Amino acid sequence: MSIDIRAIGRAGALGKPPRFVRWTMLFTSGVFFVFLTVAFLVYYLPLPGAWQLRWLIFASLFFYSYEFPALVLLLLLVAATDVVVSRKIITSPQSKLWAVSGVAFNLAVLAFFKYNRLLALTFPSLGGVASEPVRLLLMLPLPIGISFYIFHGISLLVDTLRDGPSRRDVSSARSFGEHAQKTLLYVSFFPQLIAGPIVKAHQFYPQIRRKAFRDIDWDGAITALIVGYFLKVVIADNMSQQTFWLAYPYFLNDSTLDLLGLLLGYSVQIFADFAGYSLIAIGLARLFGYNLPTNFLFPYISESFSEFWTRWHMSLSSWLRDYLYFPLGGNRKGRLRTYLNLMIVMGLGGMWHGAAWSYGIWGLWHGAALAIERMVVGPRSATARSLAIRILRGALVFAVVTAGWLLFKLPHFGDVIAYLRTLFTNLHAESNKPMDMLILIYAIPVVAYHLNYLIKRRARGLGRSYFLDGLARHIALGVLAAAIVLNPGPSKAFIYFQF
Amino acid sequence: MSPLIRNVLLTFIAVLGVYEGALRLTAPRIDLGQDQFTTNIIRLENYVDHPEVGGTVIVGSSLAARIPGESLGSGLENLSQAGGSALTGLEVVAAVPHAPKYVLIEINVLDKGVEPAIAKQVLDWPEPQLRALFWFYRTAYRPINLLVKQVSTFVKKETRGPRTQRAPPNFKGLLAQRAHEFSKPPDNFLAPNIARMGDLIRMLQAKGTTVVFFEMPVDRSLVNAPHSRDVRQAVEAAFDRRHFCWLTLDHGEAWQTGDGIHLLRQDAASIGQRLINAPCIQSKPR
Repeated sequence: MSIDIRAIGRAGALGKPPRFVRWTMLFTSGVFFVFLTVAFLVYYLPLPGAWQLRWLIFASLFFYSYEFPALVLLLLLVAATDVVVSRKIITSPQSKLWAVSGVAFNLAVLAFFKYNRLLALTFPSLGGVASEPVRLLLMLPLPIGISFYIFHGISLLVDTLRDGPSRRDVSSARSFGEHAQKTLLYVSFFPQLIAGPIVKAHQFYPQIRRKAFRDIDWDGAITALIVGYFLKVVIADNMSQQTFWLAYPYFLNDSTLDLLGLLLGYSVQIFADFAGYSLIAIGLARLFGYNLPTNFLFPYISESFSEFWTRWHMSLSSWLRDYLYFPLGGNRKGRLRTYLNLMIVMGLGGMWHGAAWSYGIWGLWHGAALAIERMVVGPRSATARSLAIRILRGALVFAVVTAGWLLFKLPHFGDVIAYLRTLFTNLHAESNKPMDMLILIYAIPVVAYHLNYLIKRRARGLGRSYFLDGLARHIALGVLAAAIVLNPGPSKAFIYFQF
Repeated sequence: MSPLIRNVLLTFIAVLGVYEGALRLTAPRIDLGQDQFTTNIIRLENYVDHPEVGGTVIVGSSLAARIPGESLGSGLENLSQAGGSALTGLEVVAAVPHAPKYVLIEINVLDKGVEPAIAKQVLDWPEPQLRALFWFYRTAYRPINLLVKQVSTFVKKETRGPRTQRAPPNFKGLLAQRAHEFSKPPDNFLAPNIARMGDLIRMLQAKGTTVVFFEMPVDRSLVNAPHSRDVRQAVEAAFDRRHFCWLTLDHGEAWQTGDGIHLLRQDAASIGQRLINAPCIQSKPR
């Protein structure tokens, strides 16, 4: 009996991934640059201090609601709840109860809007018993950025409950109004609203104060913006035209070499897309006087899976560590419990990315890699002295991570299996050499970006910049800026917008 | 101004200036992009920016896009859009002041409408003006497209002309997939798209253009599939054969495709030859 492997992940239970609201100002669109110019110029006008903060909140909400104003209502509801609950945590004797209720509310909103469709598809009988309005609600599109601002809210509530700097920041607000404004900015700050980096409350609140034009870190902002736009516009957007073919049924035609090339290409694309977005967000935030945490630190040089997760989407991994892994007991409850915790955290982290079971499997794939690594080499994967072994380790980590991206690109599990099967059946098929060449060409800058970091780290340690230094840096940035104008790809939404 | 900003600006201007100068000196002719989307744009931009080209144009989808330019000769421009339909090409051709003598419309894919992003990039202010002012702004002149041109020229020299293309190993699976897709009738967009096509055709006819319809051959098993049949009937009903010129390209021959609908290179070239020799076209293109 033959089994249609493509039926796996399609029939009923594991249907299509959820729709999401795409309508927003893209950082690469013309309208965004008009918005940015106006927001920036008004921000630094000599207005009374409180107006600067209010203007930034207004600009952020305008940015978020530009294409689809109704979206802002949910954001405001979540922010209002966070404002009230965080204040109550400070003032009420039942602080823990308030915190638990607030976190539960945030998680319920996330579950309802993000996982509604997955649940409806997984348990179709639910739709059968539900009334028409409920069924309508179940089919609501995913509000863009919801995963990020919900995590901000949870961070605020947990940090406020814990006796630490965030609690002091929340309690130090002179009035409820001031606290509300600060919290609204924390949740809605437009550079990081849609796709992070996820900023913890205790990192952001101390930065909220009057900003002066003369204090802008121009060098840091310009560097982050140029490198970010280059990664997004030149590398990710162009590479997306090649990896478009990494989809069923197109890949059935491709040779093994092409399929490997496409995987490499997608690995480069997803890095360039998300690291590019994060750098743009960091650069924009600096223009407004705020420092956002580094989100990507050359992840493809990692020699172990644990190192990879200290370099890839660092703000998410550190959030999961602080608010999930540690509360679960981390590595303090024995070896088996540690492995289980890793699997739980990575599995849930995977599901955070999207409402499809393949994201959960992707998370478990990484959880298993982390657990096996811990089993084999112990809690600290010691750095090998031999260069050959380090290269082999790096190659293994890259290969496992890259294979995992298949689950991102092909959310239907059956397609993933078909892809892997085609890898072995099309060994002698004719290769698409132009495609392979283009993938290689667009991968080279990303490889060079990582190599430069490695060489710099090895030779003389890292200075202020992870990039180049002195005049070489200035010229390289000028060339990258020219490349953005000369060789842009077609404008695409950022991959992480769907999460 | 900080040294970083000054140096970045100077380098930026220098790179763009040198590149612009090199383009003006060499003026290369590029009609192929790094990917199908880029090629789509290049074809349309070249047509809009060069009024002297294209006495006869082909508009269509990825099916007609397979017809190689070298099989058509000069004066005949293939504006077919891979991943799109004839509508986008038709919209652009109708929008520019210079009208071609003939427009050949491929009718296989008509449930996709005008691609607004492409039409905007090709036609809307300030895009044509910027392309005229700065050559580096033209899609064709992106550095990667110049490289693709060099590589494809080199490959053609090495292989002494285009090679015979073979059907892919998973042809049967792909054909089955197409058969599944073609077993469904076209979606609701077909009627408004045909209506829009009628508007555009009337605009072109007012400028003196003759419109010619044709259907690209597909695998025999798909010729009378519900999707193909319904689209054919809908277009024939809107533009009947008594008032419009129709080319018949499929005479029951066994055309070879890669996936059921896209002809292999050699067969697509053969279609190109038939188009330029079609009896409907009274005076041959230059």
